[in-house]
Amino acid sequence: MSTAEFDPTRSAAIRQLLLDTVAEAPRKERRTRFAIIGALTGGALALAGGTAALALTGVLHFGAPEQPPAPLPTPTPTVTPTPTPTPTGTPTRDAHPLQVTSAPIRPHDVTSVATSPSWSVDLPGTGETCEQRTAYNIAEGYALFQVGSKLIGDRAGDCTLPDDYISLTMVDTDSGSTVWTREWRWESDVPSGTSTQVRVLGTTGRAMLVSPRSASGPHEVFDLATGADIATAEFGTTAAPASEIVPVGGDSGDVIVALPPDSAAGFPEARLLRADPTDASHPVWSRTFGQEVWLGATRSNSTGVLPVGWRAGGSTYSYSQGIVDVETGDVVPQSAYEAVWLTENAALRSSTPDPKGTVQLSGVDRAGNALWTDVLPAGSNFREISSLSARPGGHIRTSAGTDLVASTSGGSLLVIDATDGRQRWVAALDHCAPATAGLTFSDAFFEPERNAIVLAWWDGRTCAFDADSGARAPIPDIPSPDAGSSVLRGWSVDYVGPVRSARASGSAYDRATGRELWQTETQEQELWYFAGGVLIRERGRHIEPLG
Amino acid sequence: MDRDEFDEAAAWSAARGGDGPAFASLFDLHRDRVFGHALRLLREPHDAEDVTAVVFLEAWRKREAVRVVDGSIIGWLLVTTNYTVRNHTRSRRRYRAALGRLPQPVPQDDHAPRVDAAIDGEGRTRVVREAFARLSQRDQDVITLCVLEELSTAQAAEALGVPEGTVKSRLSRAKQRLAALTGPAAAPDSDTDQAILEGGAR
Repeated sequence: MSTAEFDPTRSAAIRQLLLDTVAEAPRKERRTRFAIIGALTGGALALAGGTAALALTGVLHFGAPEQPPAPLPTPTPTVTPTPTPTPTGTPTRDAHPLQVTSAPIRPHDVTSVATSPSWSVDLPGTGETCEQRTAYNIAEGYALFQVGSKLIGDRAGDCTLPDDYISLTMVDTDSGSTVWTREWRWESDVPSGTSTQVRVLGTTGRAMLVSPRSASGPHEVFDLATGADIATAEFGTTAAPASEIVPVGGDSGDVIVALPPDSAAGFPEARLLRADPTDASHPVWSRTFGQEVWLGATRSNSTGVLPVGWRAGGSTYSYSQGIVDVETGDVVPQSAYEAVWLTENAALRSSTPDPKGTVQLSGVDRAGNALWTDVLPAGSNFREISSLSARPGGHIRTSAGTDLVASTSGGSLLVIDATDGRQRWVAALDHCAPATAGLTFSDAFFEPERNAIVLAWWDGRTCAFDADSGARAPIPDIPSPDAGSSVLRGWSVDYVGPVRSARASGSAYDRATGRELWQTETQEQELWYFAGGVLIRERGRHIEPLG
Repeated sequence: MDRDEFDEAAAWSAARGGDGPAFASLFDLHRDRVFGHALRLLREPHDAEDVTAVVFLEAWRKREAVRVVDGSIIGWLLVTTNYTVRNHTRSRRRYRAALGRLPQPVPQDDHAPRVDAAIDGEGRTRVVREAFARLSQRDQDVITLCVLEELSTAQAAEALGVPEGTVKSRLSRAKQRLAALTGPAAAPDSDTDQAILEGGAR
């Protein structure tokens, strides 16, 4: 038997990569597919968790070898935005202005479920089975809902039309009025998957619709309040479109863009640049990186630092990483075995000189200098403690952070302030059943109502601590989420809501007492989330508030 | 539900619906088994770590096609490990940016020899491992599930999406092919060669 063990730091990084991958994935329109499957398989769906039943369709093939990506076709830009965005609702901006700020958006709890919704909106879409859906928190009471783009390739199922589609709808989630709606159609030039997404450009009131790795998809800067087109932002060429676009954030409307080499256009090396997307041909700075460059974060923060990786040439396995100063473009290489990650207002570097040894955690400045360093025990699991509020411009599944880092190891919890490295406290986990069972916490959040830091496990169990002292501050466990549900954290209410078709109801629980506040029936493929601070139930392309 | 007992099927259902922590819990559960199987095929620990990452990323990408067999997705993960190893370059290309964000491995000069010692340390063991690599995807999958991972033929049948009789016949032929590739004394269901192929970490 081999003695080889999984490198703990790489394992932790892969684990975080998986969490990020799930968090960033748009949801897919599955209503039609499930309806077909349901008709074919009946009870098999419930008995086999759905997966064996899926095979009966003959559409999904287990383990089928994939075809290598086809060469990109010569794209023909055919973006066809609707001529003029037409407000289709009654905006109430005087009393309720749509203004993007940096202030987190607090979720407004629903303590009693409405017998009938106060509003509902049917989002535009094609209704095809491969149509994805997602939404972005924009401001208090405002959310931008996206339908499309479509999945292409091996996950597209029976969705085979070559054209792609996306709609954006700005909804006042307080009143339900639709502020504006726009639609785009184009001929897709990506061999598999799709990635057309919205990037909110800081607090400028603008956003960008981006289509990484696609030349024919929309690349447009638009006004969030009206939906009006401001500029087309073409980074790269039709042969080498931008692969990643990350907003600088704050009051800057600039973006950081990763571009592949394009020798025909005079760029034999991959580039990373900063530019105003309305003036894409005049970058603020530009750096070259050899064969490939990519960004290690999907957003910037107030530190002005972004993790960056690059491959200068040669082996697929030979790559380098470092940090880039978003103001100057200066790149500071990191040593071979370090990871840089961002909290709300800090940049952290974690390293393990010895995979079986301690973890060195540092705060870093723009020049890569360590502002502080702490040494965590071997096998530590650590992550930023999230807030219960949403970040403006963020995806509905991402929450704002707190700059506090929770680290567990050896039966204790350490809380560190990421801005200055101060250890707030260390608490024993001996009263915490999932921790003593060896399970790694899946979430950590700060609950202002009780001034508590809460570790949570995916099965609904929690362990809470006083945020100032680390003293035990027990809160009751909510009923364990079943196979078709997950926990949505409100300000002081936990919602055990549906995430897939099998679940027939959702419930709300007072987090302080564990008391069930209400229960409501749910429909197939229903999903709950906070959008602009309002609790929304999504049924396909139909959305309505739960309160 | 016994709350101290991990309900893998429930975790997978939650993960498939977009519950990241549930997905991470499945990584926690099956990481070492996937890593061990990749390691026995690749020998290089850090390549095996990358393959492990790719296998779980594939599980997410193909989440609607993942099979749950007796409440577990391990069969699907192991078969996907075979596929990923066979198509290492292509798999890495798809996830190159993601893998590039992982910490670089620390050079460990003495690591590979230890793995080699575990996998190749005895007589014909390298021959057996290389013979396994020369088997078809189907043969590798059935050997992996039924011989190396000791799933029942019924479980393997469900994981592979074929009748149980097909698994039995494929297993018989796969053993014959492996024996032919390694010589008359090296049937893969012998204790020795099974041990050789089980050289990964568990």
